[in-house]
Amino acid sequence: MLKLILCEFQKLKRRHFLLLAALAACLFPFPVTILVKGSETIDGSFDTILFMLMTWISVPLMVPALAGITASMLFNMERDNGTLKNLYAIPISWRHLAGAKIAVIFTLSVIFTMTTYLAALIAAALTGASVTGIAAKLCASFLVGIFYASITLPAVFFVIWFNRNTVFSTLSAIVYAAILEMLVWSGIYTLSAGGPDRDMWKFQLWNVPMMIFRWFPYFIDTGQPAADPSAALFVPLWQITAVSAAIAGISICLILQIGKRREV
Amino acid sequence: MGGYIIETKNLTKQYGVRKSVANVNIHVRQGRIYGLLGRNGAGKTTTMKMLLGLTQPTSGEVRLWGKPLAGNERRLLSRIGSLIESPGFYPNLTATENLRIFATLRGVPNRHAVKDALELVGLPYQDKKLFSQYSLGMKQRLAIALAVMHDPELFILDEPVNGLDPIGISKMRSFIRQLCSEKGKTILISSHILSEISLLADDIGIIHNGVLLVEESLSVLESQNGRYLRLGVSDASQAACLLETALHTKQFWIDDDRNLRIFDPSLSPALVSETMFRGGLSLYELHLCEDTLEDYFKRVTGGEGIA
Repeated sequence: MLKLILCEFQKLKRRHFLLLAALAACLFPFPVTILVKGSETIDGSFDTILFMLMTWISVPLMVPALAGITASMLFNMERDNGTLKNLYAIPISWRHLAGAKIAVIFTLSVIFTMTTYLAALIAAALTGASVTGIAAKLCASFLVGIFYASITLPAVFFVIWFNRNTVFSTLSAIVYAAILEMLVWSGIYTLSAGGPDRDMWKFQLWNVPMMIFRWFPYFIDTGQPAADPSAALFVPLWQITAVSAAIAGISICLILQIGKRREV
Repeated sequence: MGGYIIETKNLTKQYGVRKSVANVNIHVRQGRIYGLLGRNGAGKTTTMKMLLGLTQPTSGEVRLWGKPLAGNERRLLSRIGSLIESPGFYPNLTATENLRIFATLRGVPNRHAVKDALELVGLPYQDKKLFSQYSLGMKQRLAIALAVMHDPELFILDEPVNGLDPIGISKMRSFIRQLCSEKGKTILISSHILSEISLLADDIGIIHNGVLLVEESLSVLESQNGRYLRLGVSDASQAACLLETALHTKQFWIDDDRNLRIFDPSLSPALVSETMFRGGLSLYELHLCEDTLEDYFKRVTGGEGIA
């Protein structure tokens, strides 16, 4: 399986889109840091910068887009280039092939969030912001990558199901990423509009990107939320893990089923 | 004939109500070149795909080295080198990078396998040219390199000379012959180019509308169908009656009102001309002809030639 995953990475050689994504991951934190530091209403700590990047501004848009576009490239390239027949004749099963491609999607998502984390750390250090809890935040960034990769898998399934060209698949991935970003914004709007009497059972607060938004500060600041009056907002790790795992599990099963039925 | 490398039993593939391949029974012997001949859309590629497990048969069975393919894919397919339809590679990678991926996935132990395979087909090793910049002929040669890289015992090659220039075709022919004669490989090759098959194959299968019409060795086909008499007479139907009544043969073919062909090897030109004369028929022409594979193909498929 490891060989298969490494080969999937080799297939992405000279795909300049990935370089652009890496560049975006490195550059995003700097304007956000400058914005936060320049604001009088927002606390300019590393925690806040990372929180905004991971759950609000950068990752919710960029990781689903990156994962979706990478998935469309990886899955469509086999169909468009007629390489499936070579792979099946080895024989490599669809189950293994799809598994390796999904592993690449997860790995790239995590690489993106880790790069964002490192860039944010550098930006925070350069602007003199206080930097604490490096390990917890690193772990949280890793998990955000996993969660966002998981909730992008339904889009990957639809890309394979529609079986259309790469342009259509890429546009679908971007639209899906934009929807996830809008969910975060609508959730934040609901939170800010509700004030202390906010209705905690509103749909906008229980979509997955919003659950990640509500989980992240709790995870990187363990112990504090209990004393915090807004502690009820926070989502525990097991909840977001269970939801992400369920979405990923169902999507993977559907991807495996749909590919199995197609003949070369 | 025993000890087949490839054997199919009533192999059938049905798409909706249309049978793309119907009850095909192929027998490929070890160390032989088997030419699968058929027009475009006859079912050659579908048959080959089923032999490689790329398409599941609707019914019937594929047996390779005496074992059923179903359930033994990992053990059996690793012994096969294949080229199906157009060459399939990643356009953003070079030939070497492409082959390395497949060598890694196949677990090819020989470290020089990629280099050797490329040299064998005359492509440069570690060239910077991407696959997308290759000509059709180069792509075809790369596909052959992929097929030979892991030193398989059996080759399944679907129209391997497609896109090659005349010199390339000649080289490919020698290469395939060499694989069989010097290395003892078994080869199943499909083509719609009759001359290619007649120059290469030891055994021939003719497939038409999904049905395998003939399966025989080329030498037997040549001896059985090599010669015939072509007659030009005043009345072909009367001549046909004479052949049946006086010469007791039904091995003839009426081309039109005045022409017919006799395939019965026991009948000499002298006897036929004498019989026609005695029957009161005028004999305008009498030729002793060699039947080519194309003629035979036309005869068994009941249609036009294909190449």
